[in-house]
Amino acid sequence: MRARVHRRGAWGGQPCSTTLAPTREASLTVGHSGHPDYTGLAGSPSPARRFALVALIVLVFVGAGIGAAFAQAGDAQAGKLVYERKCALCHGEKGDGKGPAAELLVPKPRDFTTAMPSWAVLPEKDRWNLVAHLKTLAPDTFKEAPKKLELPKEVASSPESIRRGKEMYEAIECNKCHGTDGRADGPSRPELKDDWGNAIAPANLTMPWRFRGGSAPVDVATRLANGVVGTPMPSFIDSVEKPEDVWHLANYILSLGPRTLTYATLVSVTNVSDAIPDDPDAAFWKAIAPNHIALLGQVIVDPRNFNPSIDLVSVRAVYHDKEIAFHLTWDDPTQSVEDAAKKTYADAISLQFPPQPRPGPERPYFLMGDASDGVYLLRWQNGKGVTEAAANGPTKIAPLAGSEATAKAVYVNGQYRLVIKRPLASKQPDRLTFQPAVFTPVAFQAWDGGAGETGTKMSLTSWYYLRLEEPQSNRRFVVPPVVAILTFAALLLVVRVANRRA
Amino acid sequence: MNFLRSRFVQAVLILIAAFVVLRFGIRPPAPWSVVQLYMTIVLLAVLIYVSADSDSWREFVHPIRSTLVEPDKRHVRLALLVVVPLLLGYYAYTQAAARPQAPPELRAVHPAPPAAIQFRGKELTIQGLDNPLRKDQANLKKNIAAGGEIYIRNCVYCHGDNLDGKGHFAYGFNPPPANFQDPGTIAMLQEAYLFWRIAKGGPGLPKESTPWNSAMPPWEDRLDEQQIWQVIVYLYDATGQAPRRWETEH
Repeated sequence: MRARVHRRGAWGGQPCSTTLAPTREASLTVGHSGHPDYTGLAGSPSPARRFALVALIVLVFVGAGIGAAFAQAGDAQAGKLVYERKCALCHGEKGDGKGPAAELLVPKPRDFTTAMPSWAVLPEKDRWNLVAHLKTLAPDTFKEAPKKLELPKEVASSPESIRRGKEMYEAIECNKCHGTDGRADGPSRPELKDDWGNAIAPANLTMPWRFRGGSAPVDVATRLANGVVGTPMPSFIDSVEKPEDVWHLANYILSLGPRTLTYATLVSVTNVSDAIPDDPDAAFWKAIAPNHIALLGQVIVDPRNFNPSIDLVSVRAVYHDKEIAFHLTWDDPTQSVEDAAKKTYADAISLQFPPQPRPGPERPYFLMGDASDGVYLLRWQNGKGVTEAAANGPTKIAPLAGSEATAKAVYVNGQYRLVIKRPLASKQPDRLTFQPAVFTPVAFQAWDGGAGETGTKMSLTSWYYLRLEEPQSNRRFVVPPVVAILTFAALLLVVRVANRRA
Repeated sequence: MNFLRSRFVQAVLILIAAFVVLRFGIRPPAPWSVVQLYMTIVLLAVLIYVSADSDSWREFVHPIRSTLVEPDKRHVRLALLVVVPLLLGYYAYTQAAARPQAPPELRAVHPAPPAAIQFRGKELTIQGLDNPLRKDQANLKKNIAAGGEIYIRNCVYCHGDNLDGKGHFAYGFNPPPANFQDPGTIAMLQEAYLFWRIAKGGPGLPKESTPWNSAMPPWEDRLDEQQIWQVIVYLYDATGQAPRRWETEH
């Protein structure tokens, strides 16, 4: 703390920024750019496109408040200012989705369904002003008042409702796109295109915490009833047997995964006395608590991966006196191996450790180390199995001779489950020996070969910690009674002494 | 309000008030060890206060003594003999059964920059360096617009489209991406500091700032000098912040 303050002082004395803060007016107008090259705009968009786009934008801003919507009037001119500051870089100055970011985002900015984050951070008035401005971009569309969507009466979730929802899920063929278990691996997946011809992926329904349109039952039911404009997701209100089936479907979909997920910061490795099963589907693994780890795109080294396919790996880990085992679960919509003709690569995942335990906080660079300080990898590839490897950066991976690791994987309905085992101690100096009760740095990388991910096109994490928990001793049952009895005795003694004196 | 005159009640109230202030009155919350330290000091102060003279001390001790010896306080005595050992036993259980947590990552947030850096093979003096684009007021708007374009193509994934450090990838990285809307980031730094951080990224951090863990790329590989200055003027413009100026020598 002291060192930090001291250094900051050395760097430039007292802050003086407060005196320089610009006026509100200035900060609102500077973003308005008259520069003609700003959007990289090529030609005018067709009216049809603009109609769909604007309808979509309005829908997104109105969002969950669909019942109360259309009631508020906004100021289109004020909305224009907000639009130019907050929206134009993605959606383009003319609202045609041709902002500078367009080429990088998937789905494309105009299609708003998953790439765009919530703008609840804007004041509500600004949001309504934006709606008013957006409507001016396609004035013909909004001549008539829009139809209000009436949902049937809400049905609370129950085992019966979920069962009915599952029947409907199959009856109206949600599985064609969203997959049998909802993991976005349906057979139609490769053919899906949005209204502008861009490839678009179905939502993974087992991850409600990622639903950008909201994960409340009413949000899901609204999307089922209304569809998602601009995407292949149609309205299902007329396809289901009875209107209230949209609620049963919503309840079923929300039963597939948690609405919020708690990510781990520490991977705890449980001590077990039994033999560790090789089979990833063995009942043994269900009893071990998973550690959820977020994976993100690698955007440091070319080629970069701005839209990673795999964003979560759930890790269960156990050890006994001879072996350590990692049970990894992750969703991958396509099972793929290296195939030059199909332009696919082997699906892969790896665990990364420092080659040796070291004192102090210093670690190799999280992106597979560098030339001077490498990492040790446990690396599994579909079709090739597991290898132990050393890496000095993401493009310099060399297998280690005499690998002692074994692995077994299953792939079911868009999900890999994999068990990697390794002896706890290694006689080789180039690979880590796992020690109980020590915080060992660990990181993860994953590749969806079916999405063209290979080499530096991966998803990854920065460093986490791994800790081999010591065997659960009986201490927690012995210590508390001893403490209670000693306290009681001490109190009794105090009372006795006090009484004797009195 | 007679009971407020009691030294014992006063002592207890002071301790409770001090705890509430230390535990809930400080934002962000103070670490538990700091609260414990301050509570020890408060306890010592209270003991000094109640033992200031022998009358005061007798008054303070009186309720404790009477609980221990008076025949009509027998029930209170028995209750304490049961409740206190049980509470301490429960506390011992929570301690013995606790699972270890990941150790905290200690790192310097804004470490001192080097006096000069090598930027694409040329030496750039950081100390005292100003953003050259600020001198060209006529083209400032153009440069801000160009900076916005660079930002949205490169930075948005972590730092977010609202520049608040909440981009698509933000939730998974530790350290988290900087929030430029926060007055504790770019508003208290000179533009040359930002230039150094953008040019050299995570790997260019000193050891006390955990360079092995930062996902910030060294942007000198992709952006030239002018582009980095452009994205810097955009950051200040879009957040309404103003850069810190260099101290002038007197």
